[in-house]
Amino acid sequence: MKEFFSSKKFLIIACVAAFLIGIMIYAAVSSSNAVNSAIGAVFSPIQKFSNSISNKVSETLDMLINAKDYYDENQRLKEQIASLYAQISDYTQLEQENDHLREMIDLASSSDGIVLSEPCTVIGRTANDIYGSFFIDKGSKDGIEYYDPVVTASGIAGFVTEVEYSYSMVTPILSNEVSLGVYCVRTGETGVIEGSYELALDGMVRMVYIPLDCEMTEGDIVITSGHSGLVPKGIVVGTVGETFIASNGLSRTGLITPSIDPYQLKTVFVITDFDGKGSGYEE
Amino acid sequence: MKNNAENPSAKLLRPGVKTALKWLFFTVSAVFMYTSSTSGGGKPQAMLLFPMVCASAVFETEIPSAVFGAAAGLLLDVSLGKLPGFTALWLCLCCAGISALFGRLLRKNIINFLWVFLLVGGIYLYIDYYFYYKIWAYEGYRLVLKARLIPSALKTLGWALPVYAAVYVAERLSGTQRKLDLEEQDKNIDRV
Repeated sequence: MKEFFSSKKFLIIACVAAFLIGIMIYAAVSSSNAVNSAIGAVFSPIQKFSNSISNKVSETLDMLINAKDYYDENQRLKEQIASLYAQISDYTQLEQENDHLREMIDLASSSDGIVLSEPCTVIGRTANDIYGSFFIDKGSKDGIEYYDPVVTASGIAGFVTEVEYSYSMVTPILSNEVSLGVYCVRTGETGVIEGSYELALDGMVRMVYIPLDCEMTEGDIVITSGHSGLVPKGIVVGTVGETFIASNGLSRTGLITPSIDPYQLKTVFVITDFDGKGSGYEE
Repeated sequence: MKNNAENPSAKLLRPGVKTALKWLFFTVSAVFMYTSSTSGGGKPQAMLLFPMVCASAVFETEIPSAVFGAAAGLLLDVSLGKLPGFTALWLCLCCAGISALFGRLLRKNIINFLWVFLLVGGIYLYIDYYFYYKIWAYEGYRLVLKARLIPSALKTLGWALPVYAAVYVAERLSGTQRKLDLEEQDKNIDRV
């Protein structure tokens, strides 16, 4: 062993190790790095291809394995459709109520000025991430920036937390690194949503700082308040589940089921610009 | 002619070509393992690159092992969303160490590979857990160990034997001479 430590081999290995330490330090102090960009540029097309194969195989296996479940679900859905037909007479009234709510919260005006990216394909997922972070095939060359919100038609999916030249990484709102100002559409009560490891396993986040006398009930919809300047106002976040008094006794905490499951996403959009972007007190 | 007649496959490919094919196989396997680890759903994934580089280090010399370990480590860093260089540095040093160890002190067999792999993987698991979760003490951080890191480590361990076997076969097919272990090479040792 002594000869090994005094040999050229050891010197070369020490140089490689020093190079890697350099990469680590560079990556830690800079927002973007050449290593990730280079690897991403090479592997993005391969990832995209393998991901599409993986999705096809999963879907086929899923059909074969869960045929019984789908049959049961089909029966249940048929019953549900019958029930929905019975409720159709109330639709006109609900439509009016919906229009009224839209006017109240001024959703229409909040949508002005939103600039969406081209559709972004989910090309891969961060292995073993409990929050379900994923990679999309658009990067800085497509105008994507840090902390840009990522959405679908169903609501907000997360935020861009890593931007490379040809791809980006998205951290879902389930993450404990994300805090987002929200309010309840029906009651107008405000709060902040935040994630945790424990809740992420159940696919939920919590809404904190809700007033003690809140009127929110299960099934209410919460949307973004837009105060932070990071995300436009009025994007659906999820539905309210159970609420309970927080441990400090000063406010209530609610469990929110996000409208989007990050593991089911295949295509998303990035909001690259909107009225009031960066104007909030949070950065 | 006689030699060729006795062993027709011996000169089928030149040693340099065989070595190139072996490294091509390792590279393609590494890319496949990288893409497969980022293509799954929400379940814990096996980190196949980990046993792959450790197994190749058993048979290769120090420098190729260290470089392959560093390259695979960078791929793992990207797929796991870690700081680039975090896993690469660990695998670079460990692969060089494994190679030196198996070249000088240990016999190249699966038992020795397994305990060395367990040691390298176990320490990495703790370092990963400590620096990425424990040190920050986020609420419920222990759950990550139970729900992600340990299941992933167990899956990786389960794949270690097939991966070792694949690497072993590749090494044999490439015609790499099995080096004798230290005591067998030592001419000063009398054998009965």
